[in-house]
Amino acid sequence: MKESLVSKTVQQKTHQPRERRILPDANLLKIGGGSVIDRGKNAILPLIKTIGRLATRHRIIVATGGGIRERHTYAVGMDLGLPTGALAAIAEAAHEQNALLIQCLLAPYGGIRVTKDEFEKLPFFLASKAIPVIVAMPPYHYWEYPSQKEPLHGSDTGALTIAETFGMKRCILIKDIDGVYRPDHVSGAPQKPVKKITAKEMLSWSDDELPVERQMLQVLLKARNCKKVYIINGLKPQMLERVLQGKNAGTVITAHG
Amino acid sequence: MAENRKKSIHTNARKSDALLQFLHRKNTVKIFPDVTVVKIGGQSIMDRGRAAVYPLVEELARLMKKRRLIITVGGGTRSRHAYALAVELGMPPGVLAKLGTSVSRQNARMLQLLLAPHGGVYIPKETFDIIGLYLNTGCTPIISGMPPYEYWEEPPTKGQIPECRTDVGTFLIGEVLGAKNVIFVKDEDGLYTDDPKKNPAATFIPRISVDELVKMNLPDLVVERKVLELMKNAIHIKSIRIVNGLVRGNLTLALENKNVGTLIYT
Repeated sequence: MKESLVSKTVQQKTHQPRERRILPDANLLKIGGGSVIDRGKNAILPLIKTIGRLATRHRIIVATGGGIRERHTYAVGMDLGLPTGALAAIAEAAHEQNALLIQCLLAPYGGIRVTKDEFEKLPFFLASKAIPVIVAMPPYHYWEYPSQKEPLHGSDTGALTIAETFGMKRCILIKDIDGVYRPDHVSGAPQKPVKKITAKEMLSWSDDELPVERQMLQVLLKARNCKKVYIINGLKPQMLERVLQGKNAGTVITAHG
Repeated sequence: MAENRKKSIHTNARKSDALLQFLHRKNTVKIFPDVTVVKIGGQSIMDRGRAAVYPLVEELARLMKKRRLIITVGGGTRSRHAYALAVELGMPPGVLAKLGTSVSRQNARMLQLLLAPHGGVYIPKETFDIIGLYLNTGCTPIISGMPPYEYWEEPPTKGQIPECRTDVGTFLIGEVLGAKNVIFVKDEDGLYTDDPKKNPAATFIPRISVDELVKMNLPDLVVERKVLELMKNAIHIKSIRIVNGLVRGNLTLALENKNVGTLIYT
C-alpha cells in the first residue's frame, strides 16, 4: 500500500493483459463533424436512417465530432492567445451542438443524449434498445496537454479511448472517404483505399497525409481491448451495415499488423 | 490533378476549411502569472495525519495572507488500495483513473476544511472557470489533483496504473494558467537516484534538466514520469520544484524561489 506508483516494478507487476470488457457487445460509431455533419441533410439523413434500422439488431453508441465550428473556435482562440487547455474547454460547445442535433434526428429510433456523468447507465440504455448519443471529444478541458497547435485529444482519440476503456466490440469512425489512402507522391495511377493498415505505418506520415488524429494512432498502439479502428464513408451508409455484419468495408487500422 | 496527388487525398477530405491557415499560435497569454500552484502530497503528507498536516496548514495559512496560491491535493494510500482491488478485478485504466479521482477529492475536502478559516475554498473541476473570483477576493482555491480524464485516460504503455495522476493534473493547472511556478510538497527532500525509503545508497539530486533525468532512466522517481514528458512541450512552466513538506519553512523558501529541494527544469 505504501509502494511508489512511479516505480517501474510496480508498473510491470500490475500489467493485466486481459481486462474485463465492460460493454463487450457495443459498437461505437463516431460521426465526423467536418466530414459528415457539416455537409447537412443530404449526408446526415440517409446515415441516420441506416443507424436507426441497424440499431434494432446491433448495440450502437453514437459519438459526434465537432467540425467547422470547432475549428473556428480554435482559430479565434489561438488568435487571442489562449492556451491549448482553454481551447479544449471552449471547443466542447461545438461538439455538444452536434450531439444534440444527431440525438434529435435519432430520437424516433430511440436516440438519447447521454452525458459523461451518466455513462454508468449505458448498460440500461442499451438493454432498452436506446441509441445513446455522446460527445466524442474527451473531456480533457483545461487539463489538455500543452502544445503549439490545436488540442491533441480530439474526437477520434476520444472515440477510441471510450471503446477501449469499455472493451467495446468495434470502434468505427464515419468520415467522408472510402477508407485510408496511402500517400502516393509519384505514380499517376488512380488511388484506392487500403483494406488494412497499421498505426505504426501511418504514424510515419505527415499531418496532411493523415485522415485520423495522430494521437488516436498513439492510443491504438497501446490499446489492449479495442485493437482495430474501422474507417468508412458516411456518404455510403451501406458500408456501415457491412462493417456491423463483420464483412469487409473501408479500412481497418490495427496497431502493428 | 497532379497537384492534388502530391498533397494526398486526405488533405481535402479532412481539412476542407480555409480556417486552417489561421491555426497558428500567437503569444499565449498568462492568465494568472502571479499565482503559485502548490501540490500537497496524498501519501506523503495527508496520509500521515495531524503530525504532517497541521504544521503545513499553519505554514500555508501564513503564506495565503501574502501570496496568491492554488492548492491541489494528491490521492495516496486509499488510491493504491482502490487500484490494487481494481487491477485484481481486471478493470481497465480508465476505471482506475475514475476511482483515483474520488480519493484525491476526499483529501482536497479535508485540507479545505482545515484551511477554511484562512480562506481555503474547495473548487470542483466543473467550476474551474470561476477560480479568478476566489483569487481576487483573497481566497485560495483547493482542487483535487487528478486531471478530469477518467474513462478517457489513455492506456498506459505498461501496467494498469493511469499515467496521468495528481502530479500531472497539478502541473497542467500551472501550465494552462501561465502560473508563476509549480511546487510539489512531498515527504522527501527532493529527487534521489532511487527511492531513498528503500535504498539508503540513493544520492540526492538538487538540480537537473528534464533531458538528463529522462536519460538516467531511474527505477523510481519522486514525480510522475508523464510530467517530464509534458514539460518538454510546455509554453509557460519551464521548471518544477519538489520540497520536503515535513520540514518546516521549506514551502516558504520554495515560494521565495530559494534553493530548496530539487529543481527540475527544461
